[in-house]
Amino acid sequence: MLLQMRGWDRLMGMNARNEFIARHNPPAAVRLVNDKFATKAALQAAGISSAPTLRTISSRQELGRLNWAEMPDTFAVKPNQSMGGSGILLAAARLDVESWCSGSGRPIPLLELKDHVRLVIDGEFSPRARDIALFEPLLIVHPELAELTFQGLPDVRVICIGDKAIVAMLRLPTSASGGRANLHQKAIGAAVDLDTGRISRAWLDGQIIAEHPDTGAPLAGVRVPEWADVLDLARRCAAVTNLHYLGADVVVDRSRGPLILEVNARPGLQIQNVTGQGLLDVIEAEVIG
Amino acid sequence: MVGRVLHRSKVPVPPLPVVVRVLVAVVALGILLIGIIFAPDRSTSRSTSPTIGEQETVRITGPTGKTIEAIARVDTGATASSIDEDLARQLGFDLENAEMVTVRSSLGREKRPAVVGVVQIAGQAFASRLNVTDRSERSNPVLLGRSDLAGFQVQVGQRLLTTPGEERTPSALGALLAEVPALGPSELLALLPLAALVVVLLRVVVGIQTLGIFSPVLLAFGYTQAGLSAGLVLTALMIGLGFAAQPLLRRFRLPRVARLTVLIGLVTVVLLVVQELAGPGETTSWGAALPVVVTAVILERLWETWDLDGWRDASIEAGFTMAVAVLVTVLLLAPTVRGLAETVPLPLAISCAIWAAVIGTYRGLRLTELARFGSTAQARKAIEPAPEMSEVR
Repeated sequence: MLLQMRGWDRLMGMNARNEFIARHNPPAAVRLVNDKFATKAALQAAGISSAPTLRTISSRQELGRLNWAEMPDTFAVKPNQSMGGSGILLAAARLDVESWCSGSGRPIPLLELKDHVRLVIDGEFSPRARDIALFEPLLIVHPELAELTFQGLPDVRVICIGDKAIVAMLRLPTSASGGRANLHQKAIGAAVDLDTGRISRAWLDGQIIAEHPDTGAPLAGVRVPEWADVLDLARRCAAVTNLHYLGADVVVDRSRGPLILEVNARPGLQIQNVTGQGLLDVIEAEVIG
Repeated sequence: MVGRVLHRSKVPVPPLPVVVRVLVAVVALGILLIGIIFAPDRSTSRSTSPTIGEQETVRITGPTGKTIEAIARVDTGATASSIDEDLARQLGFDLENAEMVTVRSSLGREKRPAVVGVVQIAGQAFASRLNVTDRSERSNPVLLGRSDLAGFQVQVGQRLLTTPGEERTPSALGALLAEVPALGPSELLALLPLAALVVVLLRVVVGIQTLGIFSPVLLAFGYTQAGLSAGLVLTALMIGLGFAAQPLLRRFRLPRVARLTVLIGLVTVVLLVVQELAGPGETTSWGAALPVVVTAVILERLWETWDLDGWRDASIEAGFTMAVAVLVTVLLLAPTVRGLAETVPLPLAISCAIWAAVIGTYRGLRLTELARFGSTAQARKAIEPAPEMSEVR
């Protein structure tokens, strides 16, 4: 009976995670990282690279005054306090002075763009009734990872306790996930070895897989480019945000290199299925030691 | 930097040791037991004079032997008992040739037909002279007056204390299907921590996700007042409307708050129309309002879940919310629980609140997570070192 339970006791469930977060993450820090704009300001002040902000729109007047002709050829619109990465609109290429097309080539009319920004401002994608729309430059996948993704931007989720990284996974978009790097929406989770930066195993929807279902590229052994810098960025987030237990999402942009996309105060538990290792294994050693 | 953790704010509080939590739970049990032991004996004389409430289920038998069950209003302010005209006809009474009696009521004096039927209430059966009148606008088809209440003690503020065949309290299902508010406001208050305890158990130990953590409790309160069938129909109707309205209202680009307001307005109108058609009755007004308000809160969460996880997950959570609400309702109406709420309301509330808090600190895996992490746990078992070797480490 004891032997049968041994596989379970190192797995962290929602109860353990919520209790751990309540004890270790101060509420002010959690509020900070829910506000992407404030997080980026804090990171930039500490010299940690993150996705730059081109503009912010927080009211209908500002939206009305926005000169769309001056917008760059590619950009992304994100809600400042969105939940789960919803509400992101990508303008991948410019078709005309005031029109763009999406990543899959579909043209986006200017009216749709304005509507989307209006939805964001009205708090459609955030827990509150109002929100701010952030315009960021469109980030492009690094060429070394281009084969491992389908029409999206892969990111590395690094779970840290304080300034020590304890586990990391690469999230790879698929056609099923609609180009989103969200495990819950059927993106691939690839466990990354902390020392070498190489993928040790890949997990999709409950199965271990060897190659990307859309591109066919083999996954095991692929190295995340500029891995040392990726880890370094993730490790420095705790000091800046004052979070003790966090999940840092890092992207490797084609031209700008590793950037912090966002910092999560409540990182998910699916990483245990991806790496095949319970989080309590590593965490308890950290807290006691 | 190995092993050192940077943490500028206060030192993290260590988790409560299991011993402390068990002790607290035992203390809560002690509070409840002491309350039960020292509770004043509320029951008065038993089998000689059964206690009934303001409304009880009765069985009336007509001249043909046909028996119908109905909820009767117990009114010690009325001289005689009366029965609804339609019900009397259903029982086979011949109203045209019945004797006429003069009845003094709030409407003045009027002549009504009087019939004699056998009334069964709280385990006693007797012949009763019932005057027949149109009670379709009243909340109960039968009224028992002083002439028939001689052998009973009436407990004001209580309802449904008995079943017609015996003096026992009706089962939870019986009380639910009777569609009469079985719990008064003070009983509900005393039972609130118990309902919270059940919900916390289901979420934290079993892992059932509902739309809103405590909304099943509020729904359950509404169901105890409005009756189960009315309550469930209302909730299902609102959730259905919520599912249908989302894409329609989205097309008009209404913001979230406006969508919710339109929905509440829609449902309120539907409720009012239904009430008009069904006729007045004290159960429909307050009892129906509560589930509507709560469901509005639930709908917000429904739309959020739909946006994040898709309509399948949203409908599953909606189903679970209603199921948990039904479970809590049935529990609240169980005779033992009602008895506890009546005799030891304060100790019950305190103990349940403490237990709910203790269970809220449970740190282990939820039952639903056993499925989610099953394969990982299996894989880890395969590579776990043998116990002897781990000590060498």
